[in-house]
Amino acid sequence: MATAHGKLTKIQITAKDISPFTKNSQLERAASTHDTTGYAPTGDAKLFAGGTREAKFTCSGVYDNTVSVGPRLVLVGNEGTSMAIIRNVEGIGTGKPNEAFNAILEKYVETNPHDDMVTWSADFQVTGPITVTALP
Amino acid sequence: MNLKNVAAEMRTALLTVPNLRVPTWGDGGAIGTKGLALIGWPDRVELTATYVRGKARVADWPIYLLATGQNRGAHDLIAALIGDTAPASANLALEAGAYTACDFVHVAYAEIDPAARYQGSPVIAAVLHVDVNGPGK
Repeated sequence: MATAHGKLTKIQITAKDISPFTKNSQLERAASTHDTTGYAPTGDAKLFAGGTREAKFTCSGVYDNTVSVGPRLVLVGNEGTSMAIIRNVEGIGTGKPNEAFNAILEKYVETNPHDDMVTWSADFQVTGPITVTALP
Repeated sequence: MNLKNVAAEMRTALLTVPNLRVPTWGDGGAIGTKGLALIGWPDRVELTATYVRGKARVADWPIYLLATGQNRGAHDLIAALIGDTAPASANLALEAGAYTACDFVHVAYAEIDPAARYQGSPVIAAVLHVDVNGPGK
């Protein structure tokens, strides 16, 4: 067992590494549940069955216009488009987890405070499965 | 991002201000009839501002602007140095500088001490608090 530091996280969108511009990201996995409770349940406890899975992915960071792989160049104009994302939650290295999925860009936001750096954030709806492998 | 290189570029920017002497970072010196700008040490350097050490950030880097005496000339000099008129404004000069050692320099605010002392003499001091953002690694 070992913890992992977020600084190692690597995010690629359409094969472009946006990690140096990313401060935070989140992959939220969920599943729907269905109430299957009948009359007179045991112990008066409801019963549920698991349903289909879905996931949301969000990421955010600092704006950068000097590199062709910056988040603006990767994301702007792709709202509503399914994009291939690879997430390495522990960074790169043999045996470390690799999560690959397609996700539709739901929202891309650039925020310009008067007294701080320009930041960006993106919300994705994952479509299809998340394929988990170990890096070779 | 190397602080020495950033300090050198900030010095170059400050040297465009008339009536201001700017020693190389780490050097001191007496105040003459001109004002004196001393680049200090930042409180904090964020070495991992993004994933994979992509960005670094310097928060609250102080630059001391000193004018000798407690007279009207010193008042006028400090007021011009933190004012809104180029080329006398040190904060405008800093933000207008050409930087390659960092992405940008932002003067957040100026703090004023009208009864400071430097090398045993009374001075009026204004401290520019500067934020710097640049590449990591």
